[in-house]
Amino acid sequence: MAKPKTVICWLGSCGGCDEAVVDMNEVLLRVAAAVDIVLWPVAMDFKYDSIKRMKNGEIVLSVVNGHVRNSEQEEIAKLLREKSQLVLAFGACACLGGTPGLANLATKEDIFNWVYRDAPTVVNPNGNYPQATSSVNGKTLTLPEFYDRVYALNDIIDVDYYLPGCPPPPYSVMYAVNAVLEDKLPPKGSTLAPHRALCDSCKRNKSKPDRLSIKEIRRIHEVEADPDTCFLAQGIICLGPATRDGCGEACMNINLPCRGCFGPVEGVEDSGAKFISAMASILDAESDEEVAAVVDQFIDPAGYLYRFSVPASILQKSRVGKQTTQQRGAK
Amino acid sequence: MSKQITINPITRLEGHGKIEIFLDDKGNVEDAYWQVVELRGFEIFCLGRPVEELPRIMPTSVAFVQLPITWHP
Repeated sequence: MAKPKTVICWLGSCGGCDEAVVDMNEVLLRVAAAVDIVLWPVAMDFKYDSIKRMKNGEIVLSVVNGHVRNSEQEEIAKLLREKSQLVLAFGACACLGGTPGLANLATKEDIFNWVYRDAPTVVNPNGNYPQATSSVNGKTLTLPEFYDRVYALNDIIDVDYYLPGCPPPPYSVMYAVNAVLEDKLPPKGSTLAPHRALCDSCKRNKSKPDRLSIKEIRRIHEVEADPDTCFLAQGIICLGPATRDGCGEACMNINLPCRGCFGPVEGVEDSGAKFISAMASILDAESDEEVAAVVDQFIDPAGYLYRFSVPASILQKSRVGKQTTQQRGAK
Repeated sequence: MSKQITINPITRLEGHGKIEIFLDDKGNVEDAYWQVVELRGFEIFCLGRPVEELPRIMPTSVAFVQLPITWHP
């Protein structure tokens, strides 16, 4: 019997998700023996054209990481959707838009002006900006069209399963792969990670006082965080209460608070709003002035609460005004 | 008859690129261009973020240099 054809492909991505696949170590050899990998740009030499020649549905599984920000990424996402029986959104960028989704807090013009003109390290006397079509020495060259914003994968195509994380840890990758190979997949649309919040499995949870309350917010470089005590109990922003479990506490284990790469808990649309709600209930402040004093300490809430999820958030839907480079710099 | 060869994507490296090769009538390489087909804008969205958070933001520009967080305990 022919081995099931499988794709591992990146869109707008850093390569960390591909590395997470390699981090399966020896298990990867078993996977490679069980499936026929027909596209994996970072590791194997197949081109997009070979996928275009395939029949619709010929690929059993496409594991897609990265977000969509340009026309080529959209084309590849749609091509893989057409040719694949199953599409797995792999990693925070594909699931939620990811860290590069923070770029949605700026406009496309802001990004181009800064990156190609205004940044202090740029030397661009002719003011050249990338063009979708350009002519050099009489030759026509093309680039993908850069979109106005970053999109999560399910903004562009129908996604069957989600595996969050930045990157997804190796054991959850193996779980997902085995579920496909053994045909033990949960209902379509499922996120292949626990439904509870990170706090529910966090080893620091037992150190949390019965009534958690914080009087001030402290930044991670301002205190020497106790490695066994709940970060929030120490006044340090930790997104554990609003973040889906399943990461294996990789950050906690090296004494760093959660930044939410697994996205919202099952049934919650927006983890940032969820966290603010949790935060409001643990704030130890009586007067409006006391509340304002703590809130003022919470610098860059968008960067903390939507580190991995601006494109998928309600923040995106309300679209943060027209913030210019100048305003951001002045702040 | 001149000919154009497109290599897309460039494979087995971290990064997104394509190569356009232009051949002349005799089939010799007349011109070749390597293009980076991606921009994410780390240069701008790091501005205004708390500096102590940057070691957790910047590694996602290229995860092969991901230093502060590792899945290998």
